[in-house]
Amino acid sequence: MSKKDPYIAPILGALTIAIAPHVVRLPVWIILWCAGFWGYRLAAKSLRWPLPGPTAMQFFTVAGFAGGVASYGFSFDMDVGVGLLSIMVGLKPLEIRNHRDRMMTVFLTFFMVITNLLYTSALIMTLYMATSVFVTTAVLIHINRPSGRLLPKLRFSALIMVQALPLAVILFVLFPRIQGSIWGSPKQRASVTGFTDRLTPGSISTLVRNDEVAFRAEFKGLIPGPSRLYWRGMVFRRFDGETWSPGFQAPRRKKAPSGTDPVDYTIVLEPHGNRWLYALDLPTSGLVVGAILSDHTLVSRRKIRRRTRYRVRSFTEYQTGPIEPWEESSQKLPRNRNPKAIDLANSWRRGAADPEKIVAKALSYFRENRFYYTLNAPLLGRDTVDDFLFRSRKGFCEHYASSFAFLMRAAGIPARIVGGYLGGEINPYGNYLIVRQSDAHVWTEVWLSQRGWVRIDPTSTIAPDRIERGVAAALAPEERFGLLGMAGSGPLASYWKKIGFGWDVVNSGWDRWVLGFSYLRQQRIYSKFGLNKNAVKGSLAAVVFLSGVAGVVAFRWSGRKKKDAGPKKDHVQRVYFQFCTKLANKGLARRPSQGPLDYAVFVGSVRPDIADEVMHICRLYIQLRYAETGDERTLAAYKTAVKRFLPGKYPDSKRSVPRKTLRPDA
Amino acid sequence: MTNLSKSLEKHHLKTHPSEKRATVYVLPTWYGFLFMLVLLAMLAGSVNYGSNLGFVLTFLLGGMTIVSMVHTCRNISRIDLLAIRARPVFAGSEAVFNSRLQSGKKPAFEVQLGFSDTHRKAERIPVERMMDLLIPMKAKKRGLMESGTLKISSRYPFGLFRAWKNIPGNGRCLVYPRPMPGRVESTGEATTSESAGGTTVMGVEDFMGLNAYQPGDSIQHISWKAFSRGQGLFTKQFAGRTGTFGILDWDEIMETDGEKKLSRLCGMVLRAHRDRITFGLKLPGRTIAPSLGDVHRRNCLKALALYRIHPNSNP
Repeated sequence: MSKKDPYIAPILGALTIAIAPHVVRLPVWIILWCAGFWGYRLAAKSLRWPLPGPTAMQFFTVAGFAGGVASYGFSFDMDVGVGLLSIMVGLKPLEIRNHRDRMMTVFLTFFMVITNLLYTSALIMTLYMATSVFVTTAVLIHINRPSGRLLPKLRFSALIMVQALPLAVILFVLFPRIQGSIWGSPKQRASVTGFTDRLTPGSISTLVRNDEVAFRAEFKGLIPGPSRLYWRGMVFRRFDGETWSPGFQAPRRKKAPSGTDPVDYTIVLEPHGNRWLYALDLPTSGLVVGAILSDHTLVSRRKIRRRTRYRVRSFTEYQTGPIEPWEESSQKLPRNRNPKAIDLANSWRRGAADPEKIVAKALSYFRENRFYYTLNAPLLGRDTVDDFLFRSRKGFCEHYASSFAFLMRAAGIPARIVGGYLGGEINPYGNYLIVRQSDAHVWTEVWLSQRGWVRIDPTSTIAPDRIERGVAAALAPEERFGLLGMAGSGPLASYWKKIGFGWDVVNSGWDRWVLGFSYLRQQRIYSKFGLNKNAVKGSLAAVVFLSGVAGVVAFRWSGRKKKDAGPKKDHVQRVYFQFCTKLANKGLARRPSQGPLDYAVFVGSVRPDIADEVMHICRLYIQLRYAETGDERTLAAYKTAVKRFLPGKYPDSKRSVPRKTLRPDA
Repeated sequence: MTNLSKSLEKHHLKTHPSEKRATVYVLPTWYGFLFMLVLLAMLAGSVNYGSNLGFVLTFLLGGMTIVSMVHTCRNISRIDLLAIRARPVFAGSEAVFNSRLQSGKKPAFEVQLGFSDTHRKAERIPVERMMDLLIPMKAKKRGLMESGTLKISSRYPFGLFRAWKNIPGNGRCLVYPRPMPGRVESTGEATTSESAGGTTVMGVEDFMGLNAYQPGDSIQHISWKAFSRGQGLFTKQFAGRTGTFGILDWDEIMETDGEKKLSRLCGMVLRAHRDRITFGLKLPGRTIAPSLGDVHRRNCLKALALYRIHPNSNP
């Protein structure tokens, strides 16, 4: 390779930018592999080190793939694909020798950029992607035009990107989307946090320290008050003495509950890998993405593997109606467990026949016996409810909900646990709530003959602040450390929080309009343009039609521009013609037979006052156009001279030909 | 119809290399097709994973590809060929066509120019001034060599598309016969140059030096080079000789083949000119009176070059 290879450094730069986001998930050896080969290639350029021959390259290729197999095994998923691509990309620069190799490497770089997007779709990643495309495009231009500085190429790259944007938007909107995937979904990345379908003491309190967003809820009208923000996710009906689980799946709801105070909102749910969806108590009918079950929970048709958007309407005041036969399990208790709790419940039942009074008694029991709301609940023995109710009396919402539901069942009242989230943080810059994992909550529902299923949140009796002000406020001060909302105080923290809210608004807008663009949204746009009959055909036709129109317009436009331009004269000559025009306006037109010098001599003979100036311009013109010795400075001098040239009126009205221009023999 | 043909005719009459609006063609290169495959793969991935960001990137790159095609076309369309000319050469040597180019509004980059078999590359065709690009072409036989169609092509900026336009060849190169060495055979009063003893007179043949310009001097003899260097007006002085002359006669050449005769005559013209012999040329149907000097030499060579060739118009 020659010492001056203008390509390799820019190509490696673009590659580095493209691969950088993968660094966190690539095995260390692949990173070293890439860095090593690229470093060698870069150094080889200036130190005249040899590049490996074909045999060595084959060896490296085999070694790379063997390493890939060693790291990943024989499975094939996205990680393996990215790993193998990185191994290839690491090797590629070693064999860049000609234009073809360079072009291939740039194509690989573009491909590398898209693999990043399969992992993250955050706005910040999008911006990074745009930067990466911008740099890679500049490198592509550089490859095709090695001369010239890099800056204009970067500018040109940006220009092309901007010019391509409208086309990209049109294609994005019109390109037919399908529901689901063609050949398999990506493997679920990163362990997803959030609810599981097992509720044991301690399973919620571990979520509380996690401030990842569970979902966002955009409200059409006012956001309901905190005591109504119970986000229903799943219902646990089965209890084996330690763990609550949903039991068999409830049948689909046939009749919507009656209710008042409806609220309309849209939920943007982060992927959690399960099928349940969240809605405020209690959702009415009309869910598009899934079904409503008769325990009033929502299930999606498929697992939530990507951010999902759905609209719900809920009644915040409701009446669920009579208990259904399948709900008998809401009264079952595990045998031979928690005898003290059963005795307590039986004593209440003997004292009062009215279930509502039993509920009140249970709540006052919690209130009066110094129960303590804490994240650090002590471990409980085999009879968890007994141990909690009569010994430790320290627990988080799952302890209260679990023991309350148990007591109710023991007292003969149908009861179940509902899991979901409570509350959420209002983003002041957008009318929406951010609900985080730390807002996870469980509560109970009891069935009362007059009122149907009624929500009872025993936690609220112990820690009323939990509802109004969130988990952190409800906990004792020494437990708040590290929890969101109490993380810091002071002006800096509040600024930081504001920035966080602003960024969240931008991000959720991006999610909504770009990432959330779906088959359904596309259908809506189509139907606006009357394309709903056959969406795929229609949009393809539209794409073709619009490209055609764009093509014709571009063609016509460029054609017209050319026509307007007229015959070309070179620049120097154009300026000279301006000069001639100025003189022609004074009646000193140049005859076609007159060359520039003839003309200058002629003008000088008629107008001695401007003779010097005319001759000066003439000389510059001749120098620039014929001798071709003129540089930029001469050109500039020539231009300004013509610009300033003002042939005024001849001062002397009497025509006298001055001596100096007279021919000696004339 | 008549209107159309009329306007076409009018257009045709105006035609001049610089004014001709050639159609610009564009096709994807091999890389272009390959990149489209890459984009298809990206699209398939985006569809499969339902990645809207993937769609954004794919369509952005797709859009950029299309935009780059427009840029490729415009890079070509803005180039104007102002003139194309070539100095006369002898058959067997290389003619050099000088294409004078300029770009409108914006400079054009990475442009290939060429006739059927030879190409030259221009890294940048400027807007602010004209640019000359020399394209060699083998001159095989005497006569008027047409440059053929000038093809201007480029793959700038992405290399994914190649745009080109064809400018019909207006370039012509006068090709003299291949000179064949040999003695000067002439009729008339020709003598060898060594015995030439004519007196030097002011003439037009041999450059002697520069004299200050005097009004009345022939404008043809002004040294423009000196003038353009800002040295003032000078007149080139030439010397000529008198006394000897001969006629180079077609009929006297002892060759059977016409082309060989022309080659011989060509060699003689050169020799005679070099030796400053006043000579004339007699070809069947054309006679050039004895004279001396560059112009005369040129006339003679041109007559030889175009002997029995009827050019449509003079170059």
